[in-house]
Amino acid sequence: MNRGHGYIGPARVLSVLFVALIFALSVVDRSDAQSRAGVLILDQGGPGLIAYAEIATYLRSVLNAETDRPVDVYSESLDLSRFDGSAYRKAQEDFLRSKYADTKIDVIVALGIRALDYAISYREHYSVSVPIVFAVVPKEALGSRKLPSNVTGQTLDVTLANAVVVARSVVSNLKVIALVGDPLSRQTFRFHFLQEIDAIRSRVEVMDFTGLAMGEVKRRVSNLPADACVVYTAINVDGEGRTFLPRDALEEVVNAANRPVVTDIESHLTRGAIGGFVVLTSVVGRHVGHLTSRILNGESADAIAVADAGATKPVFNWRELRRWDVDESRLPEGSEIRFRQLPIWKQYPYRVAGIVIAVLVQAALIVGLVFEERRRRRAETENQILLAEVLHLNRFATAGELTASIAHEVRQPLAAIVASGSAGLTWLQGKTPNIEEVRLALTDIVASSHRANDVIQAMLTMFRKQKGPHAKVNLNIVLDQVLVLCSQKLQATSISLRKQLLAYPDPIVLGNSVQLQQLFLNLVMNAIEAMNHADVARVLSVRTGFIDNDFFVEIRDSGSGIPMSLQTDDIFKPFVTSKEGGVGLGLAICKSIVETHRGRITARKDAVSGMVFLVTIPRATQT
Amino acid sequence: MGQALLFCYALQAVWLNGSRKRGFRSSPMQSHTLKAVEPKPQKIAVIDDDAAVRKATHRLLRSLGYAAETFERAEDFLASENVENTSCVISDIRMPGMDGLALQSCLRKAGVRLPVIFVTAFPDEGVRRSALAAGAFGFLNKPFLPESLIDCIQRALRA
Repeated sequence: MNRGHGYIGPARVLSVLFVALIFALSVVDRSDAQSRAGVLILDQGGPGLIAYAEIATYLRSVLNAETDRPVDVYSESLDLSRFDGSAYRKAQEDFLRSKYADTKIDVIVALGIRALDYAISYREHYSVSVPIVFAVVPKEALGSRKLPSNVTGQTLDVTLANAVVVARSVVSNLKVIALVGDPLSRQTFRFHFLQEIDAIRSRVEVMDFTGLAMGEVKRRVSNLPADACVVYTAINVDGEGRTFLPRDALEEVVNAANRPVVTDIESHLTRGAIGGFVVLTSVVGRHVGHLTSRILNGESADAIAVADAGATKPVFNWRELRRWDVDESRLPEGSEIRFRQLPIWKQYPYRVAGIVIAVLVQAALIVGLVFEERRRRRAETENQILLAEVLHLNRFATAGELTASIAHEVRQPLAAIVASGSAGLTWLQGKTPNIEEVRLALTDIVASSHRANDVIQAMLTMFRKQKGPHAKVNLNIVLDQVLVLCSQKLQATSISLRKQLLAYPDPIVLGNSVQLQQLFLNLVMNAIEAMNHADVARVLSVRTGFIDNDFFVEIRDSGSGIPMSLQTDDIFKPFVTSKEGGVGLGLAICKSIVETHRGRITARKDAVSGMVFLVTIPRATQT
Repeated sequence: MGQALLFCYALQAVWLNGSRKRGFRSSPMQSHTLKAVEPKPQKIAVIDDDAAVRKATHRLLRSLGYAAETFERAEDFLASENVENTSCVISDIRMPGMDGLALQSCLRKAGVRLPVIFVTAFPDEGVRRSALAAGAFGFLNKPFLPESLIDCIQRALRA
């Protein structure tokens, strides 16, 4: 039926709406598809090759940073080094196609020339128009062939000439190269080395160990001359058909070789290779990552020129350099040396510093102690000399005090001698000489003479410098001498003397009579001075006796004792004195003398007043 | 020393007593001339703390015909009954207890006109001067020349 011209019927509206809806949906659909990107990495190696994995990692990190949408990255190892043949390839292709049928792939990244060829033919087979980015392809491998459209990538500079340069720097006067690896024609990464061999051969001898069984390789590399160097490429399958991971094969070769081994793979540096112009996976990975993200961000692959990645760099292993004693200045300019073992003091600076300091401190202490010991010995000797001097001076000082006393003591007997002598002469002059009186007078003269001599003897003993060995000394005799020397002083100061000397046995000790005289003299003089200002009766008591195996001498005074501030031990210390103007050495000297005689000296305060000094000296053993 | 002073005063009392017996007129604390009633006794007192010196001096005096008596300490002499009978004293200077100079001044204070001769082993110029100024009849150093001692004694006994 015909309606008017302007009339739009419901069926029409619906169909328009339907079309619009489809359109809208497809638009929506497209934007959904555009929100995530997919990248498929195809590498030609088998699983386990570190290099490709590292490259993939760097690639991923760059993609995450540089694209404006999230990227899903897929990885496939084609294992084309070990497996080939059309059947394998077909199966491989089918596998990939079904695997990724429903997956959106925006870029294919092909690592290696074989992978690149594979990717190109896959694209043709399945009429897929996905941009391809290639990497890990030597410039020479690409050659001059024309790449299809929508393909871009990066090349590497990997040459046998590079390896020879390195070999020259690690082996002085290099004459021979031993080439190890799979047959070059089969090496997709290095088959262009074949073209270089002739040029190389003009400069060095090339021993071709490629394609040999591992055992044979090892035998050959263990017998190399001194001017040879091993250039390792890659062994995936050896002459016997045994399969290897190239790095494991390298390690076997290194262990067998008697010369350094040059490599071009970065991960081989940790397996014993000395170094070489290696491919840095980080550089490769980042560079291909940049290329991929540019394409994902909208750039056309055709617009990006193929360029060298600049990923080859001379890198060396420090340990191997040291092993082969290589002079680092011979290495190519810009060489990087890895695994440099810091000397201990750089690895653990603080610990080493600590140990060194400890050792130095100990050494210093030891040296110091040795010097101390010497000084001590010298000081001891000096001390002994000084002590002898002091003892001597002490004697003189005391003698000086006692000079008047001594003079007095000598004059008394002299006066008696003169008087008695004169009396005797008078008696003899008489008409009848009184012989009896004369005899008495002469007897007294003799006695007085002896007495005078005793005093002089005591004085002489004091001045005699005795250094001889110890002799037997009777303490009673020494004390008597001392008391004679002090007798005048005792009388002048009204001190009454109580003497109680041991009668039996005689107190004989081994010692030095001069020193013992000095000892008792000091003690008696001290006692006399202590009683100088005493209010109570002045009594000096001197006693000798016998206790255990020792003889003792006790000197007791009734003086003022020692000040409260001093302990009875303190008074024996040098330069301790309670006397005004006193030096304080008297008792210290006493102690020193007593100790020389292997005895002991003690002081205590008497219950009533004054001090009691007790000197014990071991008895002389009968010899 | 306190003992010595006591002796001095006791001596004074005794001497005054003795002097009254002898008919001396005396007043305390004053020296005065003596009029001898009986011949002067010739007893010489020897005071010295050293026994040998005492003995030898006694011997010497005896050999010369003098009567002598010895004392160890000045106090012993002053306490003895023979003080009045003594006509001369020979004494040491340095003695325990009362020394020679103290004895001399004690005798003087008591008004006892007793000549004192000092014999000492300790020659000291200051002591010598004080002793002579106080009226000592001699100051001899030990060992003394017997002639010097005799000379002093004779002068002392004449006085």
